[in-house]
Amino acid sequence: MNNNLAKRFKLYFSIGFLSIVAACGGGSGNAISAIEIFTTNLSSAMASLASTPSGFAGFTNLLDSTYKQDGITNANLVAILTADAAAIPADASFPVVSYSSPVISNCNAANICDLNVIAFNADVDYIATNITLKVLNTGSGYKLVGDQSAS
Amino acid sequence: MTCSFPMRQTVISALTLISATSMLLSVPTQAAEKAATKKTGTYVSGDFHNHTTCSDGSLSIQKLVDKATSNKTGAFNLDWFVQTDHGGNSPRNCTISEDPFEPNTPALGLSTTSNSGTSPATTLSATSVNPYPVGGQSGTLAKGPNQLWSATLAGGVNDIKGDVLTASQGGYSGRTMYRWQEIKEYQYKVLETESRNRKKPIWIGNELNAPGHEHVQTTILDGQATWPSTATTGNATLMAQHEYCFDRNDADTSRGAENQWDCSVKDSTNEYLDATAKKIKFSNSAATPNVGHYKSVDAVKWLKEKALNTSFYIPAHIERAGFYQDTFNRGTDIEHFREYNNIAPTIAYGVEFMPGHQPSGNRGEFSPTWNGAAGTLNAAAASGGRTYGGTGGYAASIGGVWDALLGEGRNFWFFASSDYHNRGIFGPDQRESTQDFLPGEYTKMYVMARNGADSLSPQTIMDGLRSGNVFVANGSLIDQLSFVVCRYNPTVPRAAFQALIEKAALTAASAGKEVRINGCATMGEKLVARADTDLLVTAVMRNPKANNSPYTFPNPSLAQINVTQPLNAPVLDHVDVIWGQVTSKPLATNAVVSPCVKSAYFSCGDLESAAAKNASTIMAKRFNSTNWKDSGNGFLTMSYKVTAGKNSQYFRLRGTNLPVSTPNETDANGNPLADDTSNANKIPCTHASCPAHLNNAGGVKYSSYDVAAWSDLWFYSNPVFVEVIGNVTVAGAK
Repeated sequence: MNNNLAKRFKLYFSIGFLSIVAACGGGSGNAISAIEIFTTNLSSAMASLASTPSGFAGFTNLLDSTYKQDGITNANLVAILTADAAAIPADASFPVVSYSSPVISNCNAANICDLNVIAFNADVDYIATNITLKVLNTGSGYKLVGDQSAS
Repeated sequence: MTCSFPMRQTVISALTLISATSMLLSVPTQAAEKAATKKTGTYVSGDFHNHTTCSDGSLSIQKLVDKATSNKTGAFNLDWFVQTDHGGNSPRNCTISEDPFEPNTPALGLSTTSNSGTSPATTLSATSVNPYPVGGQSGTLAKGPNQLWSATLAGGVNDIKGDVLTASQGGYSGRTMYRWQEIKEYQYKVLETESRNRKKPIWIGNELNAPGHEHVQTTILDGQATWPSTATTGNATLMAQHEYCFDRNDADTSRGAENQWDCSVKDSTNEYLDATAKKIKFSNSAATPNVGHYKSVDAVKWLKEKALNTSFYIPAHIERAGFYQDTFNRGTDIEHFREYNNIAPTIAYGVEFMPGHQPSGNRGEFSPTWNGAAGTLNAAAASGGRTYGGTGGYAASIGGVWDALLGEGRNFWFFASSDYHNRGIFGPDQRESTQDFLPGEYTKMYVMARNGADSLSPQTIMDGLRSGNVFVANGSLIDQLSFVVCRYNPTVPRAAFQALIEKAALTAASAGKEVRINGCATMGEKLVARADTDLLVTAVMRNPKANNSPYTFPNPSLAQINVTQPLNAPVLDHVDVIWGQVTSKPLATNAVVSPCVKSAYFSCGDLESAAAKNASTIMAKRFNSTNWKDSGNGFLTMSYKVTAGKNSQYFRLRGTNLPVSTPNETDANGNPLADDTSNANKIPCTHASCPAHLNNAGGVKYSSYDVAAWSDLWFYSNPVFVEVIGNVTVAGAK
């Protein structure tokens, strides 16, 4: 197993372990567990996108229909991923990014919350930074809604 | 501790792990292995073009290497070094080191007599002002590396091989030794010892007097000991043979005496080969037009035949000798770069776009009357007339010759050197100069050496040079650079993605390393992207607090615009991102550039030909203190988003300490102006500490020589290519 594969394995193992920890009460209740599950699934879906561009359904299932971020709508993003799946050779992927340590906060009346996570790159260089994603609590789980920014 | 596992959570966790494992097994090898299979590396500084008394230099090999690679005061601690003298022959023995009483680096201010002329000339020489011997060495034949081979070899002239020839060099006349013998029997051994003792990659090359052209840096690693091995004694036999076979100034016909070399080339007609010498004896002339160039082509083919991945062929100061002429030995034009690169892309992959001789009265020794007065037989107008901010016009002009080559998707890189011979009227241990800077003193070339856990070796340096993961800076304007172009991850908010990449780049630059993330490409590499993909261009660089300049007085160029900045503490003013389109497949070999169109600056040559331009090239983005992030410790971070569009393309960087519209230095767009201090004495140097050797007119000193060079600093990166799927293929790094 080469170095990169080892790191990826660590990433995926961590994602799985995170779910177990959440199941063991690593969060403070069902809401936390749900967001950890969402984060885990999101990271898995993103990793899948980067490694097999055609496997974007898992990711788009986590997008709310109102998603908009940096001017990219749900439809735009699906179109990008579809085009990537058709055109991108295996060596032309984008940098893989995954999320961990989710913390939900600032939920508003529309059930849109801030999801604070550590975003990290899982290639040879391990780089991490804190970011905030906007998510919608649908009652049965979370979906990405983006920050609704135009560009 | 109790732990309940709700069924749903347990299933999710298990599925995630299973899914993760399956993804692990299905990771596409190409994408995953790209970053992973790169060995870890570090940018290491070095130089491959400097001289000793075995040609027209002024130092012994030992002193030159010491100046370049030791960390003591007055030396410049380069990580690697290739010693290259001119080919041909020399009467002096450069392997005898200087006398032990050679003075240490003196303080400034030794010059007590003001220069009353427009150049330093002889009034500032030896006895009256400079207490050190001109040329930096004992002024008698009895001492140091100015001694003759014939006087210092055990067997005298009997130890000198090949055809008998007496010549003069540097004022010393005697029986000369052909350079092939110097390399093979004397210089190499000293360099191998220096490499072992200093624990650095130090090896030998040759500045080829290229037939039909001017000079080319060459080296061949084969045979040379691979440092840090101490078990085996190496040799430079192949390097010596190449010099014998292809240097136009090596007139020896002995076939290397007992070596009995044959210079025939497998992939050549060999039609001009001399039956006795077994080499082509002619160069370009009225009687033998273009024969010199054919010989240069054979020189490249020979390297390809014998040293495919262990040699380089890098033309030097390419514009200095003017445009190519079939009956003279002149410059190297774009069609020749294409031809060499087509023949041997792993050997002829770049040129010295930034020449040495930066403190010379004619910066880089580029002038409209190089090598003689206009109209005389040997005179040649440098292509472009002058350097521009220390760089030749081929690369200093946006959309010029370099961009034309990059626009063909070629791996063709920007290199630089010091080309040290001497310090003009000053000695080698003095700090002023009217001619050259020592290696590492002013011009530094930083090469990514991916040696992993292994020791740095000549081969890792060679591989780094070939990769194009190289940047060049004068006057320590920057000394660290991480430059990447990445595909945006469309699922991540752009600000977050940018933060990640910037952090990766800052981390890499802080360690002198490179970003290793799939989906990002750095200098010399290509990023493959779908049309219209969003790209992030990120650069992090360090502007160190000080450089090696001996001058603490304010930069006279900046003083013109009321900016006070010490010459030894330059501040990066701005960085330009240069963008160009890769528009076509490489032109066929020998696609001739014509016609020559004259202009105010460009006397002739490549610069005005459409075939030598990339009209798509633009200055795409400028960063300065208003839009870069200053970490406060010298590191500057800059990023911007760009859409790939439909065409393959490239990005490269340049930067300077001089704002736009600095009189006599930069134009309104920030482009460097011609470095011409010879005719108008343009920039006054009025501070009391301005040295005496500067040009002087009417009692006013003017920025010139080393002061002009320290005033006008630039850096250049090599390009990052983006190959758009379905568009023009980019060669990419190999």
